[in-house]
Amino acid sequence: METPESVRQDIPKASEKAEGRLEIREEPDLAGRSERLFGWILKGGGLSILVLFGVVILVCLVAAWPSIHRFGISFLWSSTWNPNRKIFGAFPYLVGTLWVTGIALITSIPVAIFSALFLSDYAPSWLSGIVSTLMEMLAGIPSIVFGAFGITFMVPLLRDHLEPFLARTLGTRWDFFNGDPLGYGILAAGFVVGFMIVPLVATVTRDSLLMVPQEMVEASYALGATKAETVFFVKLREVMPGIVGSVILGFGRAVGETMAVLLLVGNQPSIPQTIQDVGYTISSLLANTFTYAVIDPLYAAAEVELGLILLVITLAVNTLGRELLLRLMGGRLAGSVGGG
Amino acid sequence: MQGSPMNGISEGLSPFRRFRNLLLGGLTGLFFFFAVSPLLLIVYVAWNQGRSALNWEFISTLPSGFPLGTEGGILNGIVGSLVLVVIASSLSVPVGIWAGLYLWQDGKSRQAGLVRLLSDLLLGVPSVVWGIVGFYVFSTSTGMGFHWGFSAMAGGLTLGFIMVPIVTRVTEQALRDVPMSFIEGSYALGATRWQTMRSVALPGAMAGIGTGILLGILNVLGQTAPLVFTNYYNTGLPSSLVGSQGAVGDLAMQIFIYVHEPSQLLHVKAMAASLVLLGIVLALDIGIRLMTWGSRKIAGRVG
Repeated sequence: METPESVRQDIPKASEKAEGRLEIREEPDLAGRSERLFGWILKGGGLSILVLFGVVILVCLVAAWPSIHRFGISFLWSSTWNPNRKIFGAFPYLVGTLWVTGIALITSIPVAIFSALFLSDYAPSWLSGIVSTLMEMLAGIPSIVFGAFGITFMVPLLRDHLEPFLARTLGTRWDFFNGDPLGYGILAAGFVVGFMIVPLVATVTRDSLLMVPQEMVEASYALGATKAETVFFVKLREVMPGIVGSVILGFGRAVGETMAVLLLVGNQPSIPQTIQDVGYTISSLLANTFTYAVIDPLYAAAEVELGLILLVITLAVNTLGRELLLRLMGGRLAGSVGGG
Repeated sequence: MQGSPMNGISEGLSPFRRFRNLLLGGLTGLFFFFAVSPLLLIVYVAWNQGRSALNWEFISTLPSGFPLGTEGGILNGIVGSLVLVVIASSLSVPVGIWAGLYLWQDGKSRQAGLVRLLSDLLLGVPSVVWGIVGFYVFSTSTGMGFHWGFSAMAGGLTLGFIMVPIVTRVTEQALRDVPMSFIEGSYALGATRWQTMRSVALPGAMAGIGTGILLGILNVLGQTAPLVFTNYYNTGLPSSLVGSQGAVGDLAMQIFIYVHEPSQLLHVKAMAASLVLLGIVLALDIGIRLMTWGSRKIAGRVG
């Protein structure tokens, strides 16, 4: 316990106190300066991301400029691609990309959503760790291994079994399913890209399913709903924005897939008429011919403009998907890192 | 059994609802099996077709024979992949951690929100676009840029670009997982932000950051498309890292080139190389999982 006297004894020493206050005033100033400096150094880290992003956009714009300037907006729907006559049009490649992405999405969305439900609700608890690991390991398999697998497994399977089967059954009524059973083509590429985006769509959907409030599930059970009714009609409806977001992210990934598509799509710049046709996608064209194209500035610029189109599509799509998912989950965007 | 909501109400269910309940539940399992079957199939196919070519000589010798690669092994690819990963990491680890520290420190500010958005968008940039960027920044021989030609440095730094946003994202998350009370305790003791970061936040987040780096390496190991634009391929061992002699081999590129050749023997070699790449990738993956599991267990966050 301090006595009042001792307190009072301290007060008169004014000179000492003034000195002390001077020192104290000095110290936060120093610390403040180093703190500010440190803050600036850290800002450099943020700046490096801005610079990297700026470099990506700038390089693509500058390198594509001759082609943008020469062909204008008609680049998008002109279907002539002739390096010798220096006429370039993106249409066959845009259509091919959309075909492959479309087939990939149609095959992978149901599989991914049902798997997400299995991961979040149906897998018994002792199994859930293992099945989640399997799903995430699938996401880590390199694109080129998928491509090699496609060539040695999917192509013979499609050529000898699935494509003749399609032509025999659906193909007798609709020409859409007919064609030469080559094995290679948009169907093989679409299937393999579908395999590749399933883990992304499934893990993001699972993460949004885990956000559904437990009260809602319990209320559903209390009203007498079965497990399937609860999961499919209550939870699934509740996370619809998350599912849409994950599918959009899957679209963004599928559009840019390169090596597997390059090996499987057949690389013919024709517009696919039936599901068994071969095609060409933007990414596979770039990987296949860019090293020849750099000799001619306009040829290279046209290829870079295709890359720019791809970049714009993925940026737009990923911003949208991210926005949807962030609104639902608030902050954590898991599962967006994966193989390429 | 007693407490399960399913059994309690199943008595009064109509056959239709009971059937639908079982059907939809069964379908989720079936579709999950569909979803992971590529993993099992890929490992099986690679093992089945590549096993015969896989031995120690395959890993430890350079390709030879005609067409090139039908004899010998994939040493050039293994060494090249290693070189590329080291170059990529030496760019992306410091930059990624730096940016991650910024995002953690500036937290909810508007600028940090923008940086976070751009970093997430960079994650989604297609690999061919990275290839174009890498080509014009590092490899091109005309205009601005480094004029390094098709070389390990160009390829490695392009892969480093791809890795930066991954390391950034995971570093920020790992720093956020350090309990706030530690950070506040450090500030309460009078530590500056630098001291807090160096002695409290970074050591606490080390396991998470390590996981992020491994995740980035896992991601760039299988990248082929950017290397087509910046490094291509070398059948020998690299003698320098830049210039016309600077290209290195790469496992993923090697698989691509072998699979493209119309030779059954090279396809077998490609599958064996796939098996090696798969082995590395899956081992890394399991390593990451064990690391996260271990660090969570130490922090007491897993029941």
